[in-house]
Amino acid sequence: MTRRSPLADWHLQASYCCAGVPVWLQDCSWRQRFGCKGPEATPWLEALGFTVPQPANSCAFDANDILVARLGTTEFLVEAMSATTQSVIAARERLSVPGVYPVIRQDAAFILGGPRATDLLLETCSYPFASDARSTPVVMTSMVGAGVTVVPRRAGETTEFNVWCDPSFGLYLWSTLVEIAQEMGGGAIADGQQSTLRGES
Amino acid sequence: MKLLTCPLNGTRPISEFFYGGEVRAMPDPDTCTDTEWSAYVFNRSGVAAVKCEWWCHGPSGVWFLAERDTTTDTVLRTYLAPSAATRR
Amino acid sequence: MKRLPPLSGEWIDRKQPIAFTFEGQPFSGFAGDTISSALAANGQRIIGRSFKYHRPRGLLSVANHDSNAIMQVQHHGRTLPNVRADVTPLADGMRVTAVNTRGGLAKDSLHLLDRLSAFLPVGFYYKAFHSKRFFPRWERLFRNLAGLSELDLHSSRRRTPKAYAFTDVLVVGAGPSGLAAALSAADNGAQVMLVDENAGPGGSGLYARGGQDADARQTLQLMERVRQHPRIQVLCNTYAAGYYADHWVALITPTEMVKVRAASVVFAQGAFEQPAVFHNNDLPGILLASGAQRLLSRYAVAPCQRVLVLTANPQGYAAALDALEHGIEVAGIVDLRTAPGPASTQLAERLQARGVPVSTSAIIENARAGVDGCVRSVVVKTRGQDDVATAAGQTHEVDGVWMSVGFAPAHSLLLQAGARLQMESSVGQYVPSMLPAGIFSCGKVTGVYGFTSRLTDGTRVGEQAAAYVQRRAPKPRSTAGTPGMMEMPNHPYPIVAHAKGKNFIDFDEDLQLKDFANAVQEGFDSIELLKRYTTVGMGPSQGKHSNLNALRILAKLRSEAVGRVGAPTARPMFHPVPLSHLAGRSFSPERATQLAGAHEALGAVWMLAGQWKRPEYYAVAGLSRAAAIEQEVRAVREGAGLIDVGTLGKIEIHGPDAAEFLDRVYAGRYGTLTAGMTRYGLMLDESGVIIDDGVIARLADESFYFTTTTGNSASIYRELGRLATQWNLKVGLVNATGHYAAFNLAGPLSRRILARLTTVDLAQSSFPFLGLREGLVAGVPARLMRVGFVGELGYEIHVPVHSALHVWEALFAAGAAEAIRPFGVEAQRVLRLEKGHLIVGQDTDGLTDPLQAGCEWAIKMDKPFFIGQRSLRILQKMPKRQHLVGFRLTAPGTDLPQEGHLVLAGTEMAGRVTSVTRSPTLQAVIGLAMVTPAVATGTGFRIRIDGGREVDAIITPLPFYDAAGARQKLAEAP
Repeated sequence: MTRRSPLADWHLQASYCCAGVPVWLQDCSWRQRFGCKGPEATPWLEALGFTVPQPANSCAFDANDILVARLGTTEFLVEAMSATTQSVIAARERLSVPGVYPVIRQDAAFILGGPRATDLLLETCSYPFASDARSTPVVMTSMVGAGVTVVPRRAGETTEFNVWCDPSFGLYLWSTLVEIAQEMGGGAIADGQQSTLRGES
Repeated sequence: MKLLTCPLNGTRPISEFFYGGEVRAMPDPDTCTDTEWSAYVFNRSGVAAVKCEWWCHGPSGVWFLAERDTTTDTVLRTYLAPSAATRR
Repeated sequence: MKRLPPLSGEWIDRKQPIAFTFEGQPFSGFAGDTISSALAANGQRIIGRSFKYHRPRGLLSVANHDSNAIMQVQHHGRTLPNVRADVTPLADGMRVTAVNTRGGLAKDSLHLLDRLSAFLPVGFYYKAFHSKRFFPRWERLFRNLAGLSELDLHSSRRRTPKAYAFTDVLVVGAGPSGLAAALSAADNGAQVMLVDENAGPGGSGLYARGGQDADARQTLQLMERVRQHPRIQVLCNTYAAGYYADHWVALITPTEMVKVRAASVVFAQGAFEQPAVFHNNDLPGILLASGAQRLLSRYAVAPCQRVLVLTANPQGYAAALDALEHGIEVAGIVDLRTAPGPASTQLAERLQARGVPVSTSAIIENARAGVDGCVRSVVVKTRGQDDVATAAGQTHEVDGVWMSVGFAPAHSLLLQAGARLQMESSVGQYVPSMLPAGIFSCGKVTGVYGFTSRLTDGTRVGEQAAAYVQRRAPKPRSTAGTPGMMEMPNHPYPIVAHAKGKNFIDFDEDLQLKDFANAVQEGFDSIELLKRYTTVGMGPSQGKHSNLNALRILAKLRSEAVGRVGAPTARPMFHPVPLSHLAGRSFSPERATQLAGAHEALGAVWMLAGQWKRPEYYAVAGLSRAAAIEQEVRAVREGAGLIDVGTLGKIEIHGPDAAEFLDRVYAGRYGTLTAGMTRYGLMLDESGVIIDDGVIARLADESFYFTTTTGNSASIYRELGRLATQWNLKVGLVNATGHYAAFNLAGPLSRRILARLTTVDLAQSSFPFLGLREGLVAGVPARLMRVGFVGELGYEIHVPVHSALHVWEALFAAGAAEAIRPFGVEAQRVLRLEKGHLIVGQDTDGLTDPLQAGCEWAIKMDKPFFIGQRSLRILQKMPKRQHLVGFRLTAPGTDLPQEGHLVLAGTEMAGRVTSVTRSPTLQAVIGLAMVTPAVATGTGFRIRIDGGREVDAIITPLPFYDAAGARQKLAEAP
């Protein structure tokens, strides 16, 4: 396997918890993603068939669960959130077009979920997620001293938080949050348990 | 802790920001005297006044301008730098 | 002192008894007791010894507004120092002891200091102990005598969570006005957070009964409405420790700190009851009337059997009625005023009807102790001219005195919030005259004392706060005045002089009336000087019961109005905050490349480089650190070595103006750099000083990839972003630092090893020195650069970080036959020093320009503009102040110079060593030094090393090793 999550060193010693805990984290660094920026980035993405959100710091999920997040005004993060990855991989290959600059994305990425996810955020992040009234926000802020990008997403009754951070901070951020989650009666879940949590098959 | 409003990311605690100094016009290096150049490099205005300052929102890297009354430490407004270039 | 039969509304649960010990003796209490109330219930009248004179002390405020009740507690194997017994809940198994005693509370041998008090006036330590010979002895003595609790130095580390919270209206204080404000704000649609430092809300609405319960019943109704309101969140046992900018308030709960960001704040913290000052006013049994009322209503504890009430307001009369309600005899009311107001007169009639005598224009001249050290009797006299008592007096045998002579508003957080206060004569206290936007206050803290008035005040202010948050005008109110003019609650000078002193103003600091006169006499007659000389208000209660009287005394001594004397600055914390709450979890971010596990397995010895952990060297069994590093250096010079340089800053720049941007930012020329080549880059600031260096590679016409030093990557990327914005150039910057891994594969055998793994043609003609090529390494897309930092044939390999470990392991596998060796930061520093390469920030400092560092070759002055250029034109005309030179020791022994050791010319300092090492390659000690031009043009110099010894060095041209640079350009391995 030539690719390895930035959190892999943590997984070597991991003890995972089961579905149904009050707060859980799941490593999603493996997802296919790319970044781009530049004056021609928006038309280029649209021409490739991606759903591009217009307002600054907002995002869109299309029918194939592809996320396009506008970071600021002219930078994008495009990520395949589920199994359909072909369009993302193909686009990444074609990223040398005038006016579109590639942004390498080797993030540590994870989902924070569960009924007490907001409590964990209140211990670690000073952004008031609960009073952000926007429908599809992208929040760039700081969590336990590390810069993060956060995209909240409704999942049934609760909100899940997709988090990306610089891979060199990833292990520190992940293990700090997992330790707090464990104090709350939760922890890290291994891949594959999340769909059970959301009541899907 | 003080709040500051990034024009793109909204109002955040000041700990998310970096101060970039007062906006200062650079004298033309080709025509100014050595004395004028040294004053630009080493001197800063200490006057208590409304100053235009560079600020950076750390997590997003956005640089913007803030007008701040240094007498009361009140930020009057923040805005993205206009597209017209400053000297050079 | 005893526990009373069950009372309605008491806070204790008699079904849950608790056993504890005090000073080694077994005691009992109930759940809901505080340590203070349980001690009182058990009849323990003496609970501590005073700070300086070790006088016996009892409860005073029962609210932590004094530090008579500071204890040391052992509980569940933990030592809890400086426990504030008035507000700490009793728990089963607590072992409680008094602090600041020698030989226990009852027989504190330091009580003799009370007898020596004539020799220990205020500020005595400024005038004695000047002998240099004896001072160490005095210092030891005082260190042993001073202090309150003892620390347990073996306490284990505790991490305490903190939390953020957000609300529309934060209401601080859940007494009657705070409850009313919270309800009013919430009824108007605001989210409200209501906090109170007590175990339950209600405040004086519940405990200040005055023999009736109408107010208490109304308070309970408000509490129930608050409890049920969907928009109100209540936090009890929680106090606001400080107010910080933009309505950021630190709340302290028993377990954590909550950092609240509120859209507006309502302060309803009430007022601290103030003591009266008379001879022996600190005897156990003499307490504040509100303290007695708290003991009665919350904990069902009667503090005495027979009480005298000293008062100057209706609250004192009300407390006397409460005493009678609970079976306490009232020996009399002593009213300092000549003419009590209407409310007091009404209450006085009820008391007189029950046989309680009331005297006006009266003072307590002194109190006397019984053999147990507690109050036994008081002498009451008529107040004469100039507050001097008349000769004749009446003695009352009592075991309790309750004082109710006035209040000081708890306005420190209001002041921190920027409120301005002024003295309001109708209430005799400071009230807010100006409140900043979003700040509101109500109740006693603003001088409103009547129960109904407080409710009205709170309701009005709550609606104003909601209106402020909702950005609308507050609703207009009818100007019907508050019912009834409340009588003035504050006596302007409840202080009686006495020839024998011991009339205490500050109970924490043992300050008597004459201490203030002495201070003013010495010239410390402004409030800030008076505070610092006397230490008034500097004890654990921080002036809550003492600052106001201190101001009054100063005003009298200066013959000025109290309002003109000023007030000490109010600062956080409102109550003492455990350090664990402030420390929290102590997050300390660490950065790591993806190879930590691999480095560990190879025996890495770690070092911290800023936020990064890096291998200093790789330990080898049987080898010392120096020997291991030497082996790493030899491996690179003779075979092949691999180092993880992933911490380097890595930035990409794209766009039509990319070359222009780099030409302005760096001192060299990059517009002419061809794609596929690299060039060294020196970055200067506007004054011409070197701030960073790196390697700039051109990927394509409009694309560059460049590196910065590890420590500067974040700050340089930020500054480049600002410059791009300011110059409005068409560029896009990408901070790829964490996203690319980087290794340096170096040594004459490096090409052979790499060739096995890469699709890139490594032949010299295809990939020359300083070239850049893109291709696959171990199947992973990579950028390869031939760089010269360590001075051997080598390749810097940059790959995306998710594939870092794969490529690292592949390189080791591929180089197994060549005995490829990992090397760390120390070996790299030796190798680069052998090549004479400087490290920015080590061989350069905050004033080093390229001319001093010998880097003129990296500057292209004929460019139209670059940062630092104009300053260099000036510097070129000036004589150089220093110059970086290479040196080698003439006779290297075992004593090595270190970085920072001085270079000497004669007896004068002429510079310093910036880098130095033993070189295995050259078998010599080599280094770099920043020296004066006079020394630089000579042949050598001396270096002063540790112990005052000196070694000789000769100046050596750079580089020390491979002057022709042939090794790094190597075509074939030798």
